[in-house]
Amino acid sequence: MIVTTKKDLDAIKGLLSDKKKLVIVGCAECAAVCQTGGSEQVREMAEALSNHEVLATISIQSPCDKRISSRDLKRIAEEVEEADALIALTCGSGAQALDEVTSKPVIAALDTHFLGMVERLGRFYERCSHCGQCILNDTAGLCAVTACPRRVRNGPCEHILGTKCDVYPQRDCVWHSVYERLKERGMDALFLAYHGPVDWSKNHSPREEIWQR
Amino acid sequence: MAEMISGPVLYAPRLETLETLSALKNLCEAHGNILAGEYGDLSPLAFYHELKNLGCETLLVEILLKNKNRGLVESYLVTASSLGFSGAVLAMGSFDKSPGMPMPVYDLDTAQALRLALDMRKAGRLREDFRIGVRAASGSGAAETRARYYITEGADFIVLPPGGPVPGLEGHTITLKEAGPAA
Repeated sequence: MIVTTKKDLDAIKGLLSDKKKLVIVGCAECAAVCQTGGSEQVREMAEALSNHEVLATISIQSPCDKRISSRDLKRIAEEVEEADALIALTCGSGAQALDEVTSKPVIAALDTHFLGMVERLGRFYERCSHCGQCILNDTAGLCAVTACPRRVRNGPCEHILGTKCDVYPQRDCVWHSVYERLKERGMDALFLAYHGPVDWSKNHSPREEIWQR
Repeated sequence: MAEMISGPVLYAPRLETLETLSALKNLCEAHGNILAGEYGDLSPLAFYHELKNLGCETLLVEILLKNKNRGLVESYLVTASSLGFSGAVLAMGSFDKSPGMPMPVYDLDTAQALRLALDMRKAGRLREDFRIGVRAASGSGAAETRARYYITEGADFIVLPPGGPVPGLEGHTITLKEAGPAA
């Protein structure tokens, strides 16, 4: 799930000085779970922008999916056409998808942070950096790259404090956890599997995945 | 593999001013071996000749990975070897978090940088007698296994802060006289 937080409302208002008519678009998936772009947050945004003319509000299941955004926005096509801008309570991908399907100015109202594992509402944890070259099978299922602040692929580094991380001294160093877990599972040898740097030639932005049919 | 360094090594993490360099002279005479760190304002590479004039028997330079990408690591290694440093110590470096600062580099980790340096020495880009060491840690199974890995991979030595040694690596360990993992 994409974890987002709200941008400062005054900063958003500052971007709307020359935009009177607005459409507010929320995300009924990730941003709804984060309580940054669900229907309630869409309503709150509409209230906060009451000195503008809010032509329509809508929550789209996956605004990052252009097919779904195009389909759902057809329901309010006239309002979108008339709007000076769309306010996107979505992740960055969603905001850009809205821009692409409407060709309208889109004001991103959220900051996008990371791909999060959800423990429960309000507790989101980064477990994957989507580096494109996963080493989970060598590290007993722990993404050491994400859990290590230095993103070490062959750890631990020299800063390990006993078994703890120097950056987060209350936490175990993830490479210590990897070592212990591999040992428990009788897979010790994997600890010393060499992991080269992520091959930048295959991982520079913007990344694409295009199916060859 | 290059020859092991004998005797204690003094870690000078910061070279701040030319006066700091002069102050090292007495320490150098007393300790014989110096690891010049790069946490200060002055780069040890730029001040090689001043450092050499201190009369140290062995002069090592620290190469931090927190502020260099692969290209710069290569450049530092070749420069250090060409200038005449006895060797380099590869270290991740401290994790600095200051408001408004961009993220640190950490393009390579020490295992990756070690492999790079060893390949460079093998290819003749570094002197044959240019020593390559790695900062390591002790005190846990994970840390000590990784330290042994560095030596198995071909590091000439590991560098440990004062404290527990890594059993079995006593002959390959430099224990620094001054504090800590790279500052």
